[in-house]
Amino acid sequence: MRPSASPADHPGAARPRRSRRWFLAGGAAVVAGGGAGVAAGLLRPRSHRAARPAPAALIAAITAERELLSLASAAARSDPTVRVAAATVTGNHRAHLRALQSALAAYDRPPARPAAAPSLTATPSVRAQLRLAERAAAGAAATRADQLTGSTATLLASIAACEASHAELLAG
Amino acid sequence: MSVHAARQAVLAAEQRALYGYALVGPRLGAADQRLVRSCLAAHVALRDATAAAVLRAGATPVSPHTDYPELYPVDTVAQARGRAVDLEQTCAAAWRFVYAQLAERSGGPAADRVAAQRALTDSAVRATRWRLRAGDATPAPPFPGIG
Repeated sequence: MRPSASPADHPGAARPRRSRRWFLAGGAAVVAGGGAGVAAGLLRPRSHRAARPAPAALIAAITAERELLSLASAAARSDPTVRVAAATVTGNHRAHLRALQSALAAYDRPPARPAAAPSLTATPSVRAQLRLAERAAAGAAATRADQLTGSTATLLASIAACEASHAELLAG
Repeated sequence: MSVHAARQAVLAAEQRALYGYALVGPRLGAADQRLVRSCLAAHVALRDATAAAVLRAGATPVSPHTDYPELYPVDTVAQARGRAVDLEQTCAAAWRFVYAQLAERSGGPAADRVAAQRALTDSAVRATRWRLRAGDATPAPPFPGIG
């Protein structure tokens, strides 16, 4: 037995008129659905709420510290004459990394970004390469600090000053 | 504390540094005099710039003390170099505080934050220079301006 056809089966057929009650019922359904959605959002566990992304400048600062740490460690292995200075530098970069990661904890965890592997060339000297890297890092950290606000900005401002001190330490 | 109060505090630190370098300079040998002169020049510029900023804000710059008893004694080269480290550390802390006050508030000239950062960094670098001359075991602390 052939099922009853709907108006859609007959192109060109006139569509049935929608009653006022139909529109009112549909609108009520939309409002009820929206209200149910809001309620469901309030009852959802915190972990399912909208993410608070970490500032890009903070993530970049953490990546930069990892790279500096790797470079300083590689420099110490490569050139014994920088070992003493490199020990100070690596210790400081570890402290920077801990502090920045603490600041990151206030945000939703971003995907891990791998640090670039350090590359030391034959020239200029290892000491000069590390000094140049620290000087560049100081400028970059200061720029990132300006992109942030509050205690994280001030933390990064101190880190920038420290990295400039590293360049001074390595100049001797 | 407001940005204005932080500026007055850093002005006081810069005035103290100028007094202090006038005290340590004569105690240091010829090898250190060039560094003393460059530090003095830097602090004169910072003092003048900070006083001007306070005036622009419509306030009266704090006056320097007639004496700074905590800077004494300075009888030996080692004491003089150690005092120089202290002067720079105090300035670094004061500039870091100015930066912190500026960073707490959105708006305002970006140049002010840049200037505070530069002053913090320069004080940290000068402190490292003096620590190296003093043979300090930790010539570059991890967070200049703190502690």
